[in-house]
Amino acid sequence: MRLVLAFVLALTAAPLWAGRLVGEDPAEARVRAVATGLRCPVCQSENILDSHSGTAREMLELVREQVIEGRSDAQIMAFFRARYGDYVLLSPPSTGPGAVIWLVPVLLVIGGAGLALLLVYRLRGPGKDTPETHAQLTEARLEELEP
Amino acid sequence: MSMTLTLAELGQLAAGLALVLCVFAIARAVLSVRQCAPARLVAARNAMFANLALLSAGAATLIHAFVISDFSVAYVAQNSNLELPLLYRFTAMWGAHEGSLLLWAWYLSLFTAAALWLHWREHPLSMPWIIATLAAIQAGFLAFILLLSNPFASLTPVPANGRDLNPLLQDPGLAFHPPVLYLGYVGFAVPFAFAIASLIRGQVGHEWVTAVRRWTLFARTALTSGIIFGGYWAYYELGWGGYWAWDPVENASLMPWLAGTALLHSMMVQEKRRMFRSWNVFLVVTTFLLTLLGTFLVRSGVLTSVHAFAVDPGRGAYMLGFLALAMTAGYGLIIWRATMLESEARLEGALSRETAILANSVLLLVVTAVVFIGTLFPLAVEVVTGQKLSVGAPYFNKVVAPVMVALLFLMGIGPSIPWRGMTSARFLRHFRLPFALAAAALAAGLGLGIRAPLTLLSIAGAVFAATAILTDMSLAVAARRRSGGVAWARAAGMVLSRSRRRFGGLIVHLGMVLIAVGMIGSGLFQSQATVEMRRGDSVEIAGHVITLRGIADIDMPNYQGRRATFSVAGDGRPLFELRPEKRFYPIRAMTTTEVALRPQAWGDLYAVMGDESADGRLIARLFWNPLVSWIWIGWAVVLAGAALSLTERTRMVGVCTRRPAPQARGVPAQ
Repeated sequence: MRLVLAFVLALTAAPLWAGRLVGEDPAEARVRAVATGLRCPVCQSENILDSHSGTAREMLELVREQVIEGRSDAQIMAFFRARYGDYVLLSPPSTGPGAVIWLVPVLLVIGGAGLALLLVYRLRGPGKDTPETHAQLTEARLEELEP
Repeated sequence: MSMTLTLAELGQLAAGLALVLCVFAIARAVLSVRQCAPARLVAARNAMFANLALLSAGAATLIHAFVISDFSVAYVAQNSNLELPLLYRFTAMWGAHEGSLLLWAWYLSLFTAAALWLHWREHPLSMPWIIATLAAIQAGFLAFILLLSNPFASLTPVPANGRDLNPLLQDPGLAFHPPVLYLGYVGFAVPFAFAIASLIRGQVGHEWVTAVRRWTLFARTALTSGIIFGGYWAYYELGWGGYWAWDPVENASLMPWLAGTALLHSMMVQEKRRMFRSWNVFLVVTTFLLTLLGTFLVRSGVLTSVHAFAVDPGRGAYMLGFLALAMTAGYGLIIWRATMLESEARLEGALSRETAILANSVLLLVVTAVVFIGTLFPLAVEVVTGQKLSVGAPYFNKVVAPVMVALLFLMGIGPSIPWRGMTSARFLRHFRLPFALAAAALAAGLGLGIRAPLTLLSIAGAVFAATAILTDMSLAVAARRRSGGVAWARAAGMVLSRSRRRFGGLIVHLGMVLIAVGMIGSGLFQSQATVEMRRGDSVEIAGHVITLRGIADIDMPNYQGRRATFSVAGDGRPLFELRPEKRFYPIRAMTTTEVALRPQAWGDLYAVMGDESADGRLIARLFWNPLVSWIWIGWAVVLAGAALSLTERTRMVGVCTRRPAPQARGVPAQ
């Protein structure tokens, strides 16, 4: 049993091992990171890295040039935004209508936590007499009760 | 027109009759309640059985038309071809809009018949409303099929050849993805119908939840499988190195999965503890509406372009109207019955299974809402302001990933906390080992130079959940071994057969952890290179040396193309070859890429062929995708766990134990 446990644990820690295999030119990694955030304007919901279209290739080359020139990610994004509009950013800008998109998750988390707390508060209290049946016990508790 | 009917016309007639029978069934079912005439209900039930027979005949005629290439049927002419291999002639039946909706309706008739067959005796008072609800959904779909999206429509003059199935869909993956996904979508109609029936009757106790546990588990498992098949298909067919792109079409199937997962867990609280009544009816209605929304989003064309939707508003308007009607009915009933939906029991401890499941529901619904807003908000902005906005993978990854990591931890905690609560001292003692190993994984990650907090936390979460689940399993087996005085293997067998639900659930969780590990590995540690190579050139990626050996022509009946051959070597030894292709399908004038893929335990090598230049250089994309196979293995584990859990019938636990036994033991209850 312990062997099985150890084996599966080793397996779940596999990303640690997988992570060591990565060795890539850092500039190229940045080109990729920026390119996956830019939408190919002539395709159907594809980023410029994955798209095979000519437009996407040209845009990718522009990204590469600007990375080599040493411009920051934000500068490169702003360059494409000025050229193609907000549509080109796969992660919407936090100004204008895009702000809603960023605000909603925050509100949802706050609202969800609030709702959960409210429910816990409202439902709290001593229970009616509902005895725990055998089937409701966890195996861990069974172990305590039937040593 | 000749007097003899073609087979396709017979199919259309069958679908028309099925629609009439649905309307008849609704009327009979409602009348049986108003006039207290149970005999009328038998007629309604039989109408739904006949409905299955008619729609089976209808679907069979359409498949037949594909198999014999009957191009007098417009749908066949648009989606098949004389050169199309036989397998794809079958799968082409659901390859486009009209046929896939017929598949939807056929599934619904099948599930309706199965539900009536299985639950006819157990739920006599709910039965009229269950039949009426299912028949109404069916009528809605059949009317849509016959009026606006007719797969049997004929075409004159009859073309000599068809326009071929979309080449992307000419793949074995398509044989499984849509039909399995639809199994999940339509499966949720049965729990929905039971919930509606109990709302109408005002009997919103645990009966409906107990009745539909296995339906919900079945639908959720089918939906999981459908989504995984879709990911697998995208992975090896679309050639961009990934399996999930946060495309609106994918999001459409993820939303009901998230809500359905919340439902599956939350239902247990009502079954075991008589709580969360309103929450559960809300979740089941929401899940069903999201399956309708999923069908609507994918099938109305609204995602491709808001303008395409505006130009041909018939289908879209009908679907929106149908959705609005179902929403009004579902949520309206919940509001109407609000006072009856109060919980019977109280929440006794903050650290209890109940609160863990509540937290799980809230987190899953937050993700559902984020995906909903992210998918539909750009459409809304475009309709209102005309401004085009993109919400894509970078946004969803940033917002959804932290919640998913929290869920990973919760997945380890939830099954180990008892109902009603435990003390925090016991909680800490119970999770000693998982917390220790998660901390060790965190430290190991830091030691290996990983600095991104979310990456570290996700790895720690996977280790935590796996440890907690395995601890739970081994504790149960150890307890059984001691109490029974039997060997390990036998104790494990006993636990597996006696607590199938609990162990099924734990196995499903373990499978989900494996899927999560696969996603962490491939999502965060992928490496890739776009290379330009001549014959004989080599490139290194993730410890593999890949050499281009040659490029050759391929010529098949329904496509032509080019195939590159790469040899792969590791540690100086030749290992295997990769042969990606680029295909051209002349009938649709479409070019597709065929990925070359070599799955290994630690990762996949993945090659995609790009363009060739005039001087013989080839552009190719090469990927190292760590741990992707774990996703597919994890799916198999999820399926095994769900299957184990499905074999246990739900007992009416509380009802039997609270009442004194009415009869002496041994007397059959008649």
